[in-house]
Amino acid sequence: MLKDITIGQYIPGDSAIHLLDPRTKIIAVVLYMVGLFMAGNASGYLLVTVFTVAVVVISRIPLITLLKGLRPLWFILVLTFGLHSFLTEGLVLWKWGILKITSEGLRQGFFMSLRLVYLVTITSLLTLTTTPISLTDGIERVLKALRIPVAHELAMMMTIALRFIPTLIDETEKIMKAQMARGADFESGGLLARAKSLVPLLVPLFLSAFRRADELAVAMEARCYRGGENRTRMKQLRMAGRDYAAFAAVFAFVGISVWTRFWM
Amino acid sequence: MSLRLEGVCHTYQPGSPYEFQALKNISLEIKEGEFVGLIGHTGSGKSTLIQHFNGLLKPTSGKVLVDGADIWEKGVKLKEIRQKVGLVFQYPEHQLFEETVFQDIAFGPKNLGLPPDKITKRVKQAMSMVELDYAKYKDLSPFSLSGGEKRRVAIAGVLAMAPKYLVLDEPTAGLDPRGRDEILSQIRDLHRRQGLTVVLVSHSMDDVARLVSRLIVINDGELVYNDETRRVFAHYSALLEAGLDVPTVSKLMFKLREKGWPVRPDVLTIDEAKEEILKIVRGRKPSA
Repeated sequence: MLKDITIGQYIPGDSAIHLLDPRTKIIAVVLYMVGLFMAGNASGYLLVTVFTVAVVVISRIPLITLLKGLRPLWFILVLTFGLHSFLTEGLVLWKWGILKITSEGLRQGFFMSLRLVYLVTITSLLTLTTTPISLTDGIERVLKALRIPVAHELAMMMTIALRFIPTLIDETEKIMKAQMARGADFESGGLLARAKSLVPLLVPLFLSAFRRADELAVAMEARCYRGGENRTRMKQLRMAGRDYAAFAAVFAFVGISVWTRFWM
Repeated sequence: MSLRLEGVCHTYQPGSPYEFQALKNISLEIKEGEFVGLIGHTGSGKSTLIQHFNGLLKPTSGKVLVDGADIWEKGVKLKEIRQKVGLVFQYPEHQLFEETVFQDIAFGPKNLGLPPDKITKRVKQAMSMVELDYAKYKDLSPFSLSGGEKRRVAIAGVLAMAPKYLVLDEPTAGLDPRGRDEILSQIRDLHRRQGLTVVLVSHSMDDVARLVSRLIVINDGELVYNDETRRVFAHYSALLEAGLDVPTVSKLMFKLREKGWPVRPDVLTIDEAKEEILKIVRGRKPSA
C-alpha cells in the first residue's frame, strides 16, 4: 500500500530525458500543458498521444511504473468520464428516467479522461527522470527568473519535503509494524474503527516528524545556513545542445496543437 | 515446541531496479527455554530475519514454523502468532502514543480482547518484570519519562501480551551504561525466572558473551555460524573479517596466544580469563 506511492520517486537512468537540464524539463512540462489543453479534436489528441508516447519511450521508464502512478487516479477518471457522459447535451444514445448518455458526452468524457492521464503521466515523468535535488535546483532558478522574492526558501522547503517523503514512509512502516507486533489491526473493521486504529500510528509519527524537523534545523544552523543570499552552487546548471533541441520539439508540439485547434 | 525457519529467503522489491535479496536460505531453530543471541553488522539482514519470527514479513520462499505450525498456512491467525512471539523493535520508545503509561502498556492486551480486570493484571505483571513501580508510574505520561524508563515502558508493552518467545532488537541501543545494565539484567531475569525464550539481537559482543548460550551470526543475509557462544567466538579472525567484533576477553586471549601464551581461545568471562592466565603463570598445564 505504502510502496505504491510514486510521487517524488526517481528512477536512475541515462536517457536523453534524464540528461536534460531540469529547467528545460520544468518549462517543457508547462508548455506541454498548454499544448495538451489546446487539443480539442481527434487530430489534436492524436498529436498529444504521439508526443507523449514518444517522450515515454525516449525516457526508458518502465511502463509498469507509470501505470502504477496512475492507479490512485482511477476514481477521478471514472468520475470525470461519468459526469461528462451524463451531463453533456447532444445526441441521446440511452435514456432512463432523467439519466441519459449522449454521444457528445461519451466523446467529451473520453477526451477529458485522456487529458488527465497524460497530465499525470508527464508530470510524474518529470520527477521520475529528475533527482529531487536537481529538480528543486531547477525550480529555484525558474522562480528567480520570474522575480519571485523567496525563490530559494521555497525551493529549500520543497527539497526538504521531497527528501523526507521516503524517510516518513519508512518511519510509518516501522511504527505500523511495532504496533502490529502488539496486536494492532489496521486493515479490518468499519470506518470509525479504522480511523481510531490510526491513533497509535499517527501520534508517534507526528512526534518523530517534529523531532526530525528540530534536529534538521539545528544541524542546518550549526552549518551556518542563512538562506539564499550570496549562495554559490557546487553543480552549476548549464544548457546544452540537447536542451535547445528539446525546446524546439516542445514549441513545435505546442504550435501544431494550436494549429489543430483553430484551423482543422 | 520451538520457533523454526526452514530455507527462508526474503527479497525486497522484487522485479524493480531496487531489488535486494536480504535473506538467503536461512534455516534455524530456537527451542523453548533457550537464550539465543543474534549478531551481524548493519545491513546483514538481522532486522529482516526477526520480522519473520512473528509474521510481520512473509518469506519470499521457505517456511516459518511456530510451535510446529506453518504460520503462513491458511486459517492461521497472525494476531495469535504475534501474541506468542513478542517482538521489541529497535528504539521501541518511538512507538509510545498513549496519554498514560498504563494505557500504553494495556494497548497489546486490549487488542487481544481481554477483559478489563485481566488487562490490569497483565499491565501490573509486565511493569514488575521491567521493575517499574505500578503505583508511581501508571498515571504518568510516557513522554515525561527518561530515555531508559520510556524504553522499559515500551518493553512492558510487549511483555503485557504474555509472549512465550521474546525477540529484542538491540534493546540497549542509545542508552547510557546504567540504563543498559538495568535492561540487560531484566532481560536475563525474564529468561531465568519467567522462563521466557529470548532472542537478543545485539551489537555488543561483551553483552552477548555474558548472556546467551547460543549464538547465531549472519552476514550478507547468510547464516554464518549457529553454535554455542564460546565456540563461535573462537572463530576470531573470521568474525573480524565479517565486520564483527569479538568480546574484549576473547581479544585478550588471542593477543596472548599471539605472544606465545598457550591460553584457551574460547574463554568468555573475565573470571574464566583470570583462571586461565593464573594457571599459566603458575606454570600449570592448561586444561584443554
